[in-house]
Amino acid sequence: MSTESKEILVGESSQAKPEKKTIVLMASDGDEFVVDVDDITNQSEMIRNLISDMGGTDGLQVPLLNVTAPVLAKLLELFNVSNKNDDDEEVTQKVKELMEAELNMMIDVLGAANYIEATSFFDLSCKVLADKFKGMSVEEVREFLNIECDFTEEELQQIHAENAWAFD
Amino acid sequence: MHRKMAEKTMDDGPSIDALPDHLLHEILFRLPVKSALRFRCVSKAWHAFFTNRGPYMTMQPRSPMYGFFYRRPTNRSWNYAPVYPFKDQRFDLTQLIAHLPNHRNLTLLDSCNGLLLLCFGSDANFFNCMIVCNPANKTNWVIICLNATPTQVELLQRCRFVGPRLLFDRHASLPFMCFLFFEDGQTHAPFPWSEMRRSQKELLTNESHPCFTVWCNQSGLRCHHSADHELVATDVTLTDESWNACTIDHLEDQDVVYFLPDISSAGRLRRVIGKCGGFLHGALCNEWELRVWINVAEAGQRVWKLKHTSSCQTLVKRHKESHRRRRHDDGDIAYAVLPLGFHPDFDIIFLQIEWRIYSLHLGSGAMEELGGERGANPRGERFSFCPFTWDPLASLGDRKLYRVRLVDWGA
Repeated sequence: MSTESKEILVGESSQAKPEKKTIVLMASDGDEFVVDVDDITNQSEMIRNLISDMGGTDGLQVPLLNVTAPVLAKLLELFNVSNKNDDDEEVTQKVKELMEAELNMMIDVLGAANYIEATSFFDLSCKVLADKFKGMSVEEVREFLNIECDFTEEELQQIHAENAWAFD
Repeated sequence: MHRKMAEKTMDDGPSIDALPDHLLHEILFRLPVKSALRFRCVSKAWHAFFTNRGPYMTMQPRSPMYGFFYRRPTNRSWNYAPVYPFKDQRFDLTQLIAHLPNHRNLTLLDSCNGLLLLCFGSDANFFNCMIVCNPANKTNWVIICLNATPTQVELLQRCRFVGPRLLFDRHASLPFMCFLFFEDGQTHAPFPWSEMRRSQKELLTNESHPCFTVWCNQSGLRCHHSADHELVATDVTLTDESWNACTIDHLEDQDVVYFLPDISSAGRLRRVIGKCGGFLHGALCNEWELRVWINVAEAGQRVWKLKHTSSCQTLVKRHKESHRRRRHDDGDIAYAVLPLGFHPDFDIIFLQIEWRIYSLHLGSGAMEELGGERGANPRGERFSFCPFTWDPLASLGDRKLYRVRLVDWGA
């Protein structure tokens, strides 16, 4: 495993109260992230189930094989925002900012959130992306996702005619 | 991946490197109706997604199996038996196809998700014209004219005609497909798939054609891919025996067509292969035991796992309980248990004992009699079996006539 280990303490009060339990999340490249149990189980169903299956958190290391360190760091940062705020507004804003700045990072974070079953965060991020898609034209979507149109001209016209109101 | 993003300037518009399908679908689910309707234009895959799923679904889910047609090999007319939960609905094939041209002279070849494939003439090997129809729609049908009969192809290509097969899924936003299976004529005995592998698969040349044939002869494997359908024949093996089956992954494995050459119904080993509850199942029956395998993906590989075994003795005993024979008949008659097919929705296999048809629930072992005929079946002949689905929404497209070149007479 990796020799360097990053420590990110999620939640402000964790250093003040050393009795708080922590677990270690391991990114795909071996980097370790120490997180507060309450904070992470609040978000991730997978880890909540894992802890109850293991019967405790003592020395628990969770390897997240398809999440890289930068993505995990970003995800934990966003969890932190979400845990600090009761409403979703702040975190929605952060996700939106991330989407505008680093779209592919945002997609990776979305995949990671899906992987650790962070249901509410995942839902929120999907909505942010759906909002972006919502106003796009068909051509913009094709360009955005790099999709080739495999319809013939007649087929397109037919679909157009069937759903005419959706295009104005 | 991220480096590339950083280099990009914002004004040339960001685009996504890779968005896995399952994530994309999650996002598309959350779109409002208007956007969803508009995005049907994006591509065929998106069109299929938005017509099948989500709150803006415009069609009902897949129609279930209603029952099946069956007939003795020597009989011309088909009988119908309904299955749960459609016990009260009866269909009569002659009435279902009464609107078709020359309907008295049509023979049922296959059916798939609401469509029927029939041929003109009474011989399922000697026809040169097929018709595809949805019996729920009396005004529309498609005629496929072949320039040779399968028997003529057999002679010319030195192959053996195994059978026709229809493939259709109205959710797939594709036209129906029709396969004619031929196998190598050199080895008439049961055909090892490794031989069949060196087969030639030919997609009929006409581009807008809904018709595909799979050719198997001794020349090298030739595979034609069109833009949106891909034909892939995969090896299906089970324990040490070859299944002699051909599965064609259709639409990224959403649907699989399977075919088992008739050869396997001869001899002591009876097998059938089919889809059941979304999984490919195979059943093998010898004199003592019925064994059912399920095909599952494990660590990226498809493996067969034994799912169910029943002793033939128990099955035959239950059959005898409901069908007492006269005492002198009973002695040493060997009753054959013949698997006929799988129920596509429930965990049920259809079996034939003598001339009676039963459904056997694989979980509970419950056996129910569905239909059949009376009398003994000493040679262990098998009913022709054709599942039937009633689906008024299954659409064929326009009424059309297709001409198909099976052989090149000029050459």
